[in-house]
Amino acid sequence: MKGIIFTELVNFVERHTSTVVSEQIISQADLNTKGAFTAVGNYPHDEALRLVSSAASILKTPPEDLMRQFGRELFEHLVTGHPDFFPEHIDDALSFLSVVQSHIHTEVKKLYPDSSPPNVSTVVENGKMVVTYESHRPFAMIAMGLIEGCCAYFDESLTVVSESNLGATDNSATFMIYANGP
Amino acid sequence: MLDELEAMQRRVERERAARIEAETLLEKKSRDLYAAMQEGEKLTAQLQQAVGFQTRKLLNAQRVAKFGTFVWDIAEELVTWSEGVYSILAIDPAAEQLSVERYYESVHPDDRDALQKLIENGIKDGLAHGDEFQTTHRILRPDGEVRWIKGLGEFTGSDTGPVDFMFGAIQDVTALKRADDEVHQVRKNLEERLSDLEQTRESLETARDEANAANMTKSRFIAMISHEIRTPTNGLLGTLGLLGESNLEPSQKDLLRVAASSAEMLRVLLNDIIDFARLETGQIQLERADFSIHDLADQLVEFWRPLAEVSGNELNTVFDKRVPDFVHGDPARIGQIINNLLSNAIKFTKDGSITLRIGPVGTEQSVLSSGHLKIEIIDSGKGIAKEEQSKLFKEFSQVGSDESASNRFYDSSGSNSGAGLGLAICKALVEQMDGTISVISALGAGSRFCVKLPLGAAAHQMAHSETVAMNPLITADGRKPVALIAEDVPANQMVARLLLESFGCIVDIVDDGVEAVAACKRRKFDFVLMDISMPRMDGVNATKMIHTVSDDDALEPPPVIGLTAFAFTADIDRFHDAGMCDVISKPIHKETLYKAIQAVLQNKELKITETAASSGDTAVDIKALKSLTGGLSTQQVLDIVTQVSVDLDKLRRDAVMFASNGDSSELGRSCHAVKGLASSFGAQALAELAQTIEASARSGDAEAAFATTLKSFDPTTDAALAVYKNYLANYSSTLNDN
Repeated sequence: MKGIIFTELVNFVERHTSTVVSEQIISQADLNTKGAFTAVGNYPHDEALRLVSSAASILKTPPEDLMRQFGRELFEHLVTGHPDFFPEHIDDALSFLSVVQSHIHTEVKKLYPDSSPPNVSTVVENGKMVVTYESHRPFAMIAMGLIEGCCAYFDESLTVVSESNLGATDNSATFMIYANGP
Repeated sequence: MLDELEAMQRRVERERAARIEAETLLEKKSRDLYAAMQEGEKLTAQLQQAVGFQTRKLLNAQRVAKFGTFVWDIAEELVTWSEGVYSILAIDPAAEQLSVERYYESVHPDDRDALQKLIENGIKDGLAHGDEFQTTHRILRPDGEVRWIKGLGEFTGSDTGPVDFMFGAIQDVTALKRADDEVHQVRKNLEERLSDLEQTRESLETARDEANAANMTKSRFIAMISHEIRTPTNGLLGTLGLLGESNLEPSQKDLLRVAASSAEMLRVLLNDIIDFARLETGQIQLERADFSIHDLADQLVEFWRPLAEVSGNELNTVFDKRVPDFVHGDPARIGQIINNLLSNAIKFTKDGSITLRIGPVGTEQSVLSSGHLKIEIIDSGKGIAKEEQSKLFKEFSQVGSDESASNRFYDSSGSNSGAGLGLAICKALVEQMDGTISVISALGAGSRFCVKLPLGAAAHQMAHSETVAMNPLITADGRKPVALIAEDVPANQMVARLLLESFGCIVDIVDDGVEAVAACKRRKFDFVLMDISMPRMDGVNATKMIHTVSDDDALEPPPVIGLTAFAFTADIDRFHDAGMCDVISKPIHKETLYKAIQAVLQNKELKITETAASSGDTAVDIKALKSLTGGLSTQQVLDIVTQVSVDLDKLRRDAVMFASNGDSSELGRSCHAVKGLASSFGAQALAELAQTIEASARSGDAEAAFATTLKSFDPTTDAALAVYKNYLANYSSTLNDN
């Protein structure tokens, strides 16, 4: 997985805890890299999972909540940190979501041919948008957080509902996005 | 638990490790990048080389094709020109930069405005993406040379907005244009020549038409002048005929015969010339009628037989049994053809044989089914050389013309003209009938002329009427009948003459009504055979004139038999009203004609009875007879005339017997008795004859008396008796009527 997710995750932990706690989380995670991530590197995704578990146990917070929050904050960081990835002339959340697969993931694949971004498809039906997430990584909660972050970024009061109860091990999910509530 | 310091140390350691890793990665990326750049440069160089090669290829191709391309950014008013454009315009790219304005300057002043308008209007008028334009214009090179350019352009832009680019190409098409111009010039020249030729052809055609017209005029002139010559020739022949009937010395008769033959030959010649001229000018119309081909052939062969025999030739007729008796065609013209060929055959054959063979063409079952008749005239004569055969049917050519003049002299038939027209006329006639004529011959091996004609069998095969014995006709006064034929078609003249001569008539011929009227004033005829349709004056009017004129004329009007090709009832009434006593339809049937003439010769006596006062040349002076029998009852007249007839007949037989026995005194006595009786009852000719014989017998010239008696006594007496007989018949019918 791309190094930027790891560096963002470490930053996320550091942002919300003290230096001592965050170092404890990293240490307890027993990472092969010892937590020395760089944005340009590539690392196994279970390093991230171990980091999340470690944080959850130390912070006594469910890992899925951590992942969801991480996703929410990650969206804005990605947009501001990598504006070249984002399509122009998009100024609303639903438009953005509808081009995630066709535009962003296509760009990612072009730049990093060995990367494997998730499949994200969108369908608009009966006044709602249905977003389907599929990945070989159990990051469904991060995806949900990202969608929520997207809605917040465009400053739209949309409601994101998961079709089923999601946990920290789900690698696929279906989300309904309502403009005026379900 | 970690203390703050240790945590910080760990973080620094972690970040340093991350930095070192990042640097390592960076170092690696840099090396990768460098290698990639190296590779990229190499590829670029290769690409540039390839592009350069392709560009050179393209530019060379453009140069060779005298081709140039340009891209015109319309909004920026910037044009990129390929080298080709520079070389076409002969502008050095190193010395001068092309622009749109500079291009317009290069355009020939005569074409500049048009080109500028075409392009600028195109842009102004809102050309759309994909629009194309095409132009051909001249350019002026700096050295003044003019080149022809063909330009093509395509505008491009967004689908909706205005066009912003024009991609174009120009090509120097001077060579093509010149070739094209040359082709145009060549074509123009050809067209001019063609037009000249057309004019020449037209003038030649006009000249030909004029020549043809002139030739036709000439032919018509010949026909007319010949006709004009024939008229006095006919008069000449008529007069010579009259002269021949008068008493002449033998030497005078010889001279007369030569004169008559020459005149006849002249007329034959004229007939041929007229025929040929008319054939040439298309004036000859064929008749269509059912006729007996057997009768026609028989008549012709019988006519020629005496002459053939004089030359020691045997003349045969062979009829194929498949030939029907009656066929459909123009008998006069077919007769003319056969006549010509027979005449030729006889002329060139001595002591041999001549055969007229008539049969069907090929092996058909009959003429009926083949529709073609084959007429062959085969002779065993001297033959015709191969090289002469081709000239045979040409006009004015005489093959074997070394024949002695005497041969032509004999030929009074109207067939051997001596003008070399005979076979040409045959050929023209045959061709007009859609037939063919050919000859097979070799020198010394005889000749075979073959005529094939599309003659169908007649629709109805007429039964021949019972055979009438056609003995020679004589007039009531025992003479050969003198006949006038008025007929404009020489062939018909010939047929009529052959028939009349075969009946024993003396024949005179004229060509139209005017001549017929004149001939009747000139000479006394026993009857006239009058064609209805003739030039100048037709038969109906001529008949009226003949009967009118004779009132204040010494000559009695002859009875007229009409001849017509179309015998309609209304017409026949008209002919009778004009004074014709009979009308015969053409083609002439021999027996019909014979009977008609026979009837006319008998009817004539009735006319004599009525107009006896004017008769001075008949066997019996009816007027004298009437005055002698005046005051007597009808029955008495009948008795007396019957007795006179019986007595004269007895005396005549006695006289002939005495002359045969050489008893001159008894002959003189009988003649004396005849003289008295005949003169008393108006038989002046017989009385004079009897007186002449009596005088000879008594003066001692017994031989002359015997000869005259034997020669003339019977016919003269017969003539007188015939008149009495008719007179009696007439008289008794009057009696019965009363």
